[in-house]
Parts: sequence; C-alpha cells; structure tokens
Amino acid sequence: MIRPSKVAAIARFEFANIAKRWSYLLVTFGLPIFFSGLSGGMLTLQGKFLVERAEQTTVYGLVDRAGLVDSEAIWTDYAGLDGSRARAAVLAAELTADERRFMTLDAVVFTRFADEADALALLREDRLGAVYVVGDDYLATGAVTVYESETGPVISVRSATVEPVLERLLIDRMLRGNVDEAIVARALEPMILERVTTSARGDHRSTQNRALELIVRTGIPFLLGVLLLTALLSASGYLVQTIALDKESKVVEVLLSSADPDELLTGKLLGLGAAGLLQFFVWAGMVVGGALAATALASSLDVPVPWSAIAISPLFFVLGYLFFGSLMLCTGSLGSSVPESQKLTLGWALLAVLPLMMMIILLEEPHGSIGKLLTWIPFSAPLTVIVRMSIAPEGISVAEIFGAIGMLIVSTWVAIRLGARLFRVGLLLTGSRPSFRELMRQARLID
Amino acid sequence: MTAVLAYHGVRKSYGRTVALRDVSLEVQPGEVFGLLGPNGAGKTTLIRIGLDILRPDAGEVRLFGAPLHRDGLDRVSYLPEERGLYKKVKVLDALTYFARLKGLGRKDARRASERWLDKVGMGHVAKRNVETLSKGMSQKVQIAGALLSEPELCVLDEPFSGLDPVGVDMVKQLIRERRASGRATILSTHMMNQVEQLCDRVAVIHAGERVVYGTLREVRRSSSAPVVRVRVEGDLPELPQVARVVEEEPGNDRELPLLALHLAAGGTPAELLDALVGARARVHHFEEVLATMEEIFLRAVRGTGHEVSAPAEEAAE
Repeated sequence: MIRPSKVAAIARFEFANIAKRWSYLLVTFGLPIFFSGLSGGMLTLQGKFLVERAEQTTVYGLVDRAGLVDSEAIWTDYAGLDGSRARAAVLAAELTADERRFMTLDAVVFTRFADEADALALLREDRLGAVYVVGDDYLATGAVTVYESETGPVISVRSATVEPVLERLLIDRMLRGNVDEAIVARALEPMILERVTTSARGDHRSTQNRALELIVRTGIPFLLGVLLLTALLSASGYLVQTIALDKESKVVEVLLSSADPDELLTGKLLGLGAAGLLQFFVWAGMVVGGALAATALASSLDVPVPWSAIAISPLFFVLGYLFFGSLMLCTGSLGSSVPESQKLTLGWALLAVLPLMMMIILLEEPHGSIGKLLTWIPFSAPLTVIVRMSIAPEGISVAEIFGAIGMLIVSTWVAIRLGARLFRVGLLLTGSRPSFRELMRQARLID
Repeated sequence: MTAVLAYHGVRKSYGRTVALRDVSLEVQPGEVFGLLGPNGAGKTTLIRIGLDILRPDAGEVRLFGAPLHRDGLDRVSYLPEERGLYKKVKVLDALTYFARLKGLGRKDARRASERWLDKVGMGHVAKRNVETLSKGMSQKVQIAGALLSEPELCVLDEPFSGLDPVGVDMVKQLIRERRASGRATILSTHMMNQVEQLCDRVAVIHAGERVVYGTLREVRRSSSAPVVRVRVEGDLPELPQVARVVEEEPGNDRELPLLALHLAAGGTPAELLDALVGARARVHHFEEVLATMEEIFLRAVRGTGHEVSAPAEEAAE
C-alpha cells in the first residue's frame, strides 16, 4: 500500500532538487529564448540578405539570335536609363560607352550584344551578372542558354528574379502586335489560383496561401512532436540521473529503510514529472506563441492552427512520461553510475524516437496503416497521436485517441508493477551485475 | 517484555550462496545490542531484512511485536556502513528530507534537523552544500540524520569510522543517552573495545550462522577459562575450590604478588570469594578473568569457539 505522505515528501524533494539547478533553469527557460533568438536572428539575417540580393540591380548580357527583342524602341543608351540604381549598376560595370544599348525591367538591366564573344569577355571580367543567349531556333525549341561565371554564387536568386523577367519579355515580344492586348495580358499572367479545401463534413475553406498553410500544418506538428519527445526524454533522463546519483551517493539504503520501493519510484516519477511538465509547458508555450503569431499574421488567410492537438499534448506528455519514466527508472537502477545507467536506458530512448524516424510517412499519410499502427503501440503512441491530430484532426477517430490513452495507462501500470520489483533489486546492486535469470529470480518474477 | 526486533529462523540465499542460515535473535527495548561478525558474515543482510529492504527466504521477522510492517519502520532508523549524502544539496535540506521520510511534519522535520545539527556540533554547516564538508563532518551530519527522528530502534553500522577521538566520544555519549531514555540501538562494529564499553548484549554472526549470542557478561564468562586473579596478604589458604595456583607477578615493596587461581571443576568465582572470606584471608584484589570480545570474536570466526547463548530468561531481561 503506497503511503501518500511518503510519496509527497519524495516528490517535493526531487522537484525542488532539480528545479533549483542552474542547468535545469537554463534548459527550461534559456533554451527557448536562445533558439528563438538564434532562429529569429538567422532568419532575419538571411531574409535581409535575400531581399538585398533581389533588389540589387545588376547588368545582364542578352544575345538575341531569334530577333525577338531587336526593336530599337525598347532599348536606350546610358543617358536614357531610368533610375539611379540602373545607372549606378551600368557605371559600376564600366559600360557607359555611347553605342551600348540597355533595357531596364524591374530591377534588371539587360544590355544587348550581337554575339556571345564580346558578352562572355565581359562576363569573365565579372562586369555582367550572366549572359542569356536566345537561340535562333527559339520558336521551335524554346532554347535559351545562360552563361554564368564560375566565380559567381553557387545558389543564386537569379532564377526567381531575372529569368521570370526575361520570360515575360519574350512572351510580350512574341505576342504584342500579333494578338489582342487582353490576350497579351492574360498570357503574361495566365492563372490567378484560388485553392479551396473541402472537408468530410462538406465545409469549404479558401486556402489562398498554400505555402504558409503548409508551414503551419506541418511545422507545428513537427515542432510539437519534437518538443514532446525532447521533454519526455529530458524528464526521463532526470529520473535516470537521480536514481544513479542515489546509488553513487550511497543514500539508497537510508531511503529504502524509510520508504517502500513503490513509494520511492512513484515519488520520483511525480516530482521529476512535475519538473518535466513545467519544462514542456514552457517549451510548448513557445510553439503556441508561434502559432498565435502565425494566426495573427494569417488571420485573413484562414490558416488552421491545430488547437486540439496542442490542448491534448500535456495529457500525452504525462502518460508517455509515466510509461517511459517507469521503464527508465527500473533499468536505470541496475547501473552503478550515471553513465552506466544512461547506457542501459538507451534502448527505451530509441523506441521513443521511432515515430520521429517515420515523420515523413506520418506527414504524408497521417492516417495510413503505419500511422494507425503506431497509435496503438505505447512507445510511439504519444508522438503519433499528436502528429496525426495536428495534420488532420478529422482523420483520427475518438476511439483511436481513447484507445491510445487506455493502452498507455495499462502499459504504464504494468511497467510500474514490474519496474518496482526490478527497482528494489537494482537499487541494492553493487559491484558485478547478476545474470538476467538471477535478476528475475531476485525480483520474484520467476522461481 | 516485547522485543523491539525479533528474528526467528531467518534464512536468505543469493543464488547458490547462503547468506543466512536459520538465524534467530531478539533486540530488547533500551538495550545496546552488538551485532558482530567478520566481513561477509551476513550482518548487513540480517539488518536489511530487519528493515524490510530485503525479504527472507524463510523465517519470521517481528518489529515491535508485530509482523514486519512499513509503518513500524518510521520508528526505526538506519545508518548503513556504505553511506553518503546528496552532494549538491544543503546539509539542512538533506536532513529535513530524511526526517520527512520518517514521518515528521515539515516544520518539525526542520526544527529537529537544526537541533540535531547543533547537538553534533555541526550547526554552522547547515546552509552549506554537502560536497563542501570534510569526511568527519559528513559522518557527524549522517549520525544526526539517523538519530533526529528519536527512533525507538536505531541501527548503527560502523558509526565510529572516520571520526576523531572527540567524535567517537560524542557518538558513545549519544548511544548511552539513547539507552538511558529506553531506546534500543543495534551497534555493528569491528571495534571490540567499543563493544565492551557500550553493549548490553551481543551476537556474532559467522558464515551466515549465529555463533555467539547473549549478554556481554555471560558471553565473556562462558567463553573464559575458570580463572580468578587475586592479591592476598600473607599465605593463600588451602581451598578445595582452587585446582591450581600460578604466580603471574611476584610481590615487591609496593605490591602484593598477583596470583592466578584456576578453579576446580564446577567451582565459581563467587564460591571462591566466599571461601576466601570464610578462611579469613585478607584479599586486596579479586578479579574474575574474562575473555575479551576480541578473543571471543577471533575464536568464533576461526572455528575454535562454540555457540554461546544466554538462558532464555536472561536474553529477555
């Protein structure tokens, strides 16, 4: 019979002991700030860089063998260039000779060459960003060759900035004067797409921003799953650490002379579980905060935030923690030091990571046979249910959710019962480790 | 009187290794009970079984007159031989935790911890982390931890190790205070001089068996040769109680000769004293020669001893 007063005393001590450590405080409160700061800083820096690169005006060479852009009316000399950036770019490339002709489209400046030789010579001197050659059989093949300097950037934003401009220029030059102006306009922007998602209940929802929705619908489950797993393993890790420290510090016998192994195991599970839950709430708060920000950002776009998954995640954290924690405590107690105990519990941690290894399949087909199977396995249930509920909550049945909860409760009960017996034996083990059979005999699991 | 702790026919094996064979003994209220034996004899297993840390394969253990139960263990404390404290925890917090585990309320636990730290002279380290303590300081803190719940039974396994003479004296005083207040103490130690000074009754365990058991006096007497040392003025009268006389020290100007009188079969020191007084001998010194606990221990462990048990009524004194 477990005595609540003992369990409470153990739980309170373990919670205070871990929560006062600077390493716990740092990981719990510092890590989210660090990662937010780091990822925010990195994203801002990269965004700024890409925007600057996109806005940077560069001169590109254009050799038009197909004669599509040979109309003098669309070209100008240096003096006729619009905008100070375009003029600065031409000046920087030292291309201000009177006979040189230019065309400015958005932030792109093209300069015309009769053949590749002159253009490539300037490219080699890094005075041009690239040289585009429209083939003489362009109408038949659509072939355009782009020459790039090998000293140029490996990953370039040119395909997103220069090439669409060139594409529109070629379309415009082919159609203008040959077809109606409305057709030219539509050809230049042939499709304004509106996505509408329809649910099993017959609801329709406009999803204008597919990219943002994709980020929210896959990013949040992924982040939530990773956080759940990290918090689970972190809290279980504290358990392994504390029991190994009990043995290393030689306080085990004093504890066992005052409390039953069941009480010790339960008290440690609860105390360190509370510390783990606090950690999870802080971390999950970061995800929820991110989700709220995304919702605010995308309020006009009706992006779905998986609130049901977020709401149920603490329950799955608690169940998953109790299950893994009791397994880790009993196996960790067999070690004689912190590193040895951690090695012994590595297998459980790998089983916990299983759904993360299957994340691609889960994201692609959350309610497929693998998703359904992982829902019923106690090792993978917490993460799988959260991910499935995040991606498409309507695809997971109530029976599956309650089934997973029930399976976890039963498995946890079995793990605690068996774990407490091994725990009693493991706590007193010193020196050489007994054989598996001897261990089972001492734990009275076999005769 | 109900025994505080009683073992009846306790057996315990680890695989094929037999740790305890049908061990029976009792610890009475208010006594200091010496649990002795060489390393690996089974003492720790016996203690662990008495504290419900281990379960026996056979036999019965009764605590405070009832079958072993967890609530009864709140009235028992244990200072194991292999001991320590949480290194990263403040001394006062560690002791308060141990007191809480013994069922004390939060305030009582804290007050008792402070009082006992003062009592062992460690009040000044209450707020310090355990890892900053020296070995001797840590020992004193742990002794305070074992005694602060004022348990009716306290098991002290090698409580003197790591202590200086002042520390040893302090622990001896604490054990005597426990006896004076009617609380039982089981003392497991290899320091036989401390056993002679402190214990009321003893048991020696060897190879899992109880080989010596009884009151200290009875154990020493029954393990001793029937010899009495005397200093007598004048000639020693001829007495039928004396089989042989050996002069151990010759007499001189300051001291009478020291004679070892080997008693005749069936003779007792008391009868001899009566006979000496009856013969009007002027006895200056009369000393029953008893084996030391160290001699008894060595004989028992080397197989030359024999089971020494006090009569049942004496064991229950």
